[in-house]
Amino acid sequence: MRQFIIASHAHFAAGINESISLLSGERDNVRTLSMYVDGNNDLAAEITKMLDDTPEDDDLVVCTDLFGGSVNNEFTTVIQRRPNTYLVTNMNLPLLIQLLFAGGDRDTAEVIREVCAAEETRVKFVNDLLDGEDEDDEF
Amino acid sequence: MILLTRVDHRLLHGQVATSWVNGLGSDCIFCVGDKVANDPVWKTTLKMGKPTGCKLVIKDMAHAIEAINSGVTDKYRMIICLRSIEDAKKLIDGCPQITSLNLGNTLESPTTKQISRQIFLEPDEIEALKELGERGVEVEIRALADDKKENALALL
Repeated sequence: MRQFIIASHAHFAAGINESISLLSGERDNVRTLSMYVDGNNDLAAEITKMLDDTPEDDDLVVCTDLFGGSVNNEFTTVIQRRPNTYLVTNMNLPLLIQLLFAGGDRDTAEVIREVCAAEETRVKFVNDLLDGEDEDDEF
Repeated sequence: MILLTRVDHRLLHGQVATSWVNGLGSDCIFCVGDKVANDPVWKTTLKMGKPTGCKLVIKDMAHAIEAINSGVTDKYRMIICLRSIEDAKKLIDGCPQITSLNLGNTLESPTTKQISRQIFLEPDEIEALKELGERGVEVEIRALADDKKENALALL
C-alpha cells in the first residue's frame, strides 16, 4: 500500500487536497498537514503522530510546499530514518494528481522520478504556448 | 470504440482530463458541436488543455456524425464531449449506435429544473431525454469516473 501525506505552511495542503477531490474523487490513502494555523505549531510532534498512524510496511510519499522551508526540512530528517519514505517538494496540482494515479504495483521511487520529470507537471507560461495551437487535429 | 458520450457545458476541462481520461484509459477526446467548431478562441483553449497522450478532435455536428458513421473513429478509445442536451440528442439521432449518455454538468437558468447537484434541465431538454429513454438509451449522471451511476430518467 502507498500512503500519501500532503504538508504545507498554512492551509495550502488542505486546500490542494480539496482540489484533488473535486477533480478526481476522494482517496482514503491521503492525509494532509496544514502547519502553523489552527494551533498547529509543533511540527515534530504532528509528524510523529502521523508516522505512528502509518503502517510500518507501507510506502509513504510526502509532498511538501517549499524546498528549504521548515515543513520540508523536518521531513528531510524523516526520510533519513524511516525506510520506504519518499519526499517531494515544490508540489503542484498536476504533480499530485499524477502521483496519486500512478499504479500501486510499480516501484515508488521510479514513479516519482518519472512524474517529477514529466512536462505536464511543470510550471508553464501560457501566453508562449498560444502560438503552437493553430492546427486542427484530425482522425 | 466510444467509451463515453458526455454532456458538459465546459466540454473538456479538469474533471474530464483527469478523472475520465485516466479512469477509462481514453486516447481520444472528441468535442462535438457547431458552437465550439466555429469558436477559434474556445478551440485554442481546449487544445491547450488536452491531456498528454490524448488526441483532441473538434468538429461541428454534421461532420462529427459523418466521421463516427464512417468508422474512422473506431480505432480510438474515445470520449465524446457535447455542451448541451440538444447537441447530444442531435448526435444520437445521427449515430444510433450510441446507446448511453452521461450527464456531467449543465448550466442553471431561471427556467431549469435541478435533478442532481450539477444537472439543470430546461423543459424541452427533459422531453428530449425522455424520448431518448423511450428509445432505450441509458441516461446516467456521474461527475467523475469513480462515481456511482445515477439514472437520470428516474429523476425527470
